Amino acid sequence: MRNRVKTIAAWLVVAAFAGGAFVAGAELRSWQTASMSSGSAPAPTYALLKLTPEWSPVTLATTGQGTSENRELVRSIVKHLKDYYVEPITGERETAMARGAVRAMLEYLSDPDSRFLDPKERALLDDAREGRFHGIGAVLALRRQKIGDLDMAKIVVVSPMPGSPAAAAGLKPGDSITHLDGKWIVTHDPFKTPEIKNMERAVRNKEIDEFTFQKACEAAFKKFKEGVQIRDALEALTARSSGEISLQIERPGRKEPIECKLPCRSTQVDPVTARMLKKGIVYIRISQFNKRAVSEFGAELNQARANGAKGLVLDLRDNPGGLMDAATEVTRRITGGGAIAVIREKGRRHTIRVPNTRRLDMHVAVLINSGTASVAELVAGTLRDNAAASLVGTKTFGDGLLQTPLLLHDGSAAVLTTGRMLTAKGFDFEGRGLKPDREVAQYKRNGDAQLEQTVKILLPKL
Amino acid sequence: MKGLERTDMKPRSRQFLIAALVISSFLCGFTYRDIGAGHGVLAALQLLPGRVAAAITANLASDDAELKATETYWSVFTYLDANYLGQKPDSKQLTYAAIRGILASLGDRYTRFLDPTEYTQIQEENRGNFEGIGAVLEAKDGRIIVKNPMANTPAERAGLRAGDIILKVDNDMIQGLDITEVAKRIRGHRGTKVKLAIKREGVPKPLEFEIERAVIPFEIVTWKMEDDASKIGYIRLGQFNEKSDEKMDDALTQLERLGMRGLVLDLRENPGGLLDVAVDIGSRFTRGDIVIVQDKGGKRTTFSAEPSKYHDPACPLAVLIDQNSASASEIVAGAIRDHKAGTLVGVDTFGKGLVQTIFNLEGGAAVSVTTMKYFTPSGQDVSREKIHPDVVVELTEQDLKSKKDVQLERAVQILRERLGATQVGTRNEKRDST
Repeated sequence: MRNRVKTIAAWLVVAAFAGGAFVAGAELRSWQTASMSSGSAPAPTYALLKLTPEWSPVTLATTGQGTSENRELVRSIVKHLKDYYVEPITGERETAMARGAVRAMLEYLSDPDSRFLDPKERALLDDAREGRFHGIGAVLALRRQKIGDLDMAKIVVVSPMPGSPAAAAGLKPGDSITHLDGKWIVTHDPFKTPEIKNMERAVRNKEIDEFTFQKACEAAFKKFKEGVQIRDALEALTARSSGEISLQIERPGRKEPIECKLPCRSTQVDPVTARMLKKGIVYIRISQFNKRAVSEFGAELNQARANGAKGLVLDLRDNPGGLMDAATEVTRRITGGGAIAVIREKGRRHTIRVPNTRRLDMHVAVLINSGTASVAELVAGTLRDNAAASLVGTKTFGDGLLQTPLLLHDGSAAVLTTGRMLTAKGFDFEGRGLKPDREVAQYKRNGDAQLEQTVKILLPKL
Repeated sequence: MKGLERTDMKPRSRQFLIAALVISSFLCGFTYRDIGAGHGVLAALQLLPGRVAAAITANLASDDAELKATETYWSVFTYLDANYLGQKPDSKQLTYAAIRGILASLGDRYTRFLDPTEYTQIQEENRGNFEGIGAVLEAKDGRIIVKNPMANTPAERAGLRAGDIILKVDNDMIQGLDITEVAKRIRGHRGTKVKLAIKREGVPKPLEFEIERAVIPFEIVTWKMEDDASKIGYIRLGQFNEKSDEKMDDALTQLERLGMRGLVLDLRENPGGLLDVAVDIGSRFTRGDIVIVQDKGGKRTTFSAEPSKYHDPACPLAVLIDQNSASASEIVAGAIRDHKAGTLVGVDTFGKGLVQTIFNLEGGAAVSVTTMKYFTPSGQDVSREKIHPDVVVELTEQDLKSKKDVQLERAVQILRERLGATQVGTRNEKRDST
């Protein structure tokens, strides 16, 4: 954790951006190896959109006890403002002051996962928790890359939610969105690009003339001035509810950028879809962990049992996570109870256990990919630990951090990183992800190679 | 976040000149010192446990949609301190961040927190001690350029020139940064060094400078006999600080000895300073009211000229103003105009009709709070309407390059005509000044 925070500290804080507030996250670990020219599949180099704060919210007012020099300093300043500031400090103004304080403190941490949500941003998050996505309907992350001295923050698609404009337009996990409505999304300092640096060197060595260099500098400045800020781009992508948006996208392994135009609207995601596969295998896909996912998952399992299913394929691909409670409940339905997760918090480590109930009488395989993140990874890992489940697909995202939302009664919230989750047997996937037991890449445009493989693995066991 | 400082406050078309060495004073505008000093600032810091507890209770009980600033800060602070999984933040710095967040939410750039280091620096400046490199900066078309290096400063010795475009400060690109932020980065204590990368017209490669900061010999008041034949004197007032009054006296006495018959008072680029000093300086040139201030409750207080300070015999006066004549400069210019005690020459002023009070806090920090508005004696709200010159004279690009001060020339010419038209030694300050 310490290392991670240190790494982030060096980075531009993007976490508290409006609209994109629940799209927080920045590349954390593997930027050292990242390179622009690399054509290989991207490592899971971004922290996931925190779909929801996974941990139980804390009601804030109960903690305001005690006193200190620091508190007195703030109190006296607020008092001076109330007594002397030329404009009256109305309730509304003081609310803005309080939000300003919280926002500034969280920004000071330079931890992309710890962020302030104003009421509008919190509403977006609440909506996402209920499966209502706005804008293009994709879960997004900011990926950090470092190329030489150049720090970049790219908006990357983690997963297009099923039924969303993003899914309809064919956006894929790993796509990076580079332009919005024809404008460049400002991802880096345009004066620090290798091109400008090389030209600078070339001018010094008199390989090119100064005029060319000056032109390039001016073009870079123009590009910066005409670009759209990441904050605004995220807001459009995640909060806009009408109109059209045109995007330019870079896809790993493709040279030409992809242009597409898609509507902005709200998408309601059905968290669970299920169908019977041949030979007594039920396929259940969970797109995100929320309350509805729990009840629907339970209903589908009962149905499958009634149909005599002996095998379960649990599809957690592109599942960005969700509520810890929901994840716990889904795991319990399969493992029959016991350890669900190991939680590390400041100064303590404890295991979440649930009372034993009946274990699910089916063989289980779990589909995972790079869009499987947060509590979805936890579920997959714990099922491997405690239900002998095989993991099939590709390596997961690697986000094991827990956030606690502090709810403020004006409707805003402070989201703070307070813990780290490990699988039931103590495997720590933060920063590395879970490796599948059977690695299967998804190449084909039609057909689902990963699912086919999973069925093949499951069949002999039945 | 750093981004907080990257606000474009002014239209690009307007030149925004700031002397790197007086930047902090500019930021705090001018300070309302006399009234308010007795407000028992330190007493207010003492803890009132009963009230604090009540405040928390009130916060707990409140079910409306409003937040209390201190309680909210403290709740999040304590929770964060106990539970944040990352590296424990420094609690002082975390609190400073919260304070800056609180003040930023007001949207008033003059209401700001001064940590102990910044506050010490401002106090030094109000005493007339500056440390830096001695370059005057200007924002133009989105670039920060050196307007001029001041004489006998590290900037001049290092070879900075007027018109140099600043590209980097200490290896950081400054593109998009506010001029005040750039100035802040360039400034620093004597003996320390700053690296600048400069783009100079006609020079292809960016130039690199490493300049050691020093104490800047900043003359609050400079004077000369501008026109020896007509005996027209010139006094430039750089700032309204604790030394201004005394230095102004010296300058007037010296010019008097040389037989001054007319005076040009230069308030260009003067970012203001202390309010009582503005009243003192204004008292030299006019009688009657100098400024009217209005506090939070709407109560108005009028400051009148100190009759004993009036410079008698009066001689024809012209006052030079420009877009960076701010706050205290605008008070003096406004009073002179309202009382028809002189002719204003130049361009519209900055337009800052707000007064700040600096409150000392425990631990050496301070907070500068906008506490009042002010009006000229005729009731003009300077925040809404700038001080307009009686005679508009703009400095063109060409003038700047050729170092031709057409504003000063015009002021001298006006005074010459006035002296020619009236008898030498006229002492009627109510002379018409159109």
